[in-house]
Amino acid sequence: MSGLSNVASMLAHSPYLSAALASAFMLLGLEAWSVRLLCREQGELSVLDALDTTSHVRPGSSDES
Amino acid sequence: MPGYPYERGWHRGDDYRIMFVHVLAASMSMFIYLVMAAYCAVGLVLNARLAAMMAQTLAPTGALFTFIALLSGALWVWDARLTSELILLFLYIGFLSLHAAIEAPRRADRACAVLGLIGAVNIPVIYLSVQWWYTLHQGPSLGFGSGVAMTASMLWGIVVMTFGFWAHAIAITLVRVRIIIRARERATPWEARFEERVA
Repeated sequence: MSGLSNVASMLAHSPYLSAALASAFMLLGLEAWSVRLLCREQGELSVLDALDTTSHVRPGSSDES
Repeated sequence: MPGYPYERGWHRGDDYRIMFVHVLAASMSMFIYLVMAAYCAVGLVLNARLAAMMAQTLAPTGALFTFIALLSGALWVWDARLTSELILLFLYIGFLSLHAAIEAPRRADRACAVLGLIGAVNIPVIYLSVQWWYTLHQGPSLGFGSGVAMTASMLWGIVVMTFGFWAHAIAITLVRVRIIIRARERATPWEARFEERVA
């Protein structure tokens, strides 16, 4: 717990560092969110849904046929 | 220099920790461009659609890492490394704009591949800029042939952040390339069968 409070105190005393870290991670989060949004727009399934879907495919059926 | 974070002196206390984002974002931006240029070359030479799609996928992530590297690089100065990094950002933006401007995807792929390959010249310039010119930017602390000029605890921080950035870049690239493949191949029979199966 003291480790976390040390980090919080260090960030509170370094506004430039806090701002730079916050903006960098916010941008990365925005990119991930925008890609997720694109996925949803396209009607993509989640990985778990996709795995579940493939279990219903009849054995022997192929995309190449 | 009013407003400059270094105005309290060159010893910046905890602010040095910004390097755990800045250095890695800059190295990711260069590496992603090299991978993108390699895909451009493969796409151009072998006329491979997937390679062109991968190049298109990598460009936004590379541009973002370049922007983060510039943003975390403190105040703007016409330093050799910052300037060459800014040129890299323009190359990424140019790549994306060119792709968006040409309607036919295959023509856009070829035009962007040429731009991507020409822009690869900038990568060694960025990497070697601190050795070629005497600038504000410090010399390499971690690199090929230069050894490791930092303590073990800092090195571990770098390693952890490297894994984090790589995980982000790989995950975003794979998801985005899937979106691009499905968008481009929407008219093909396999995509229609895939949609039927999912429904």
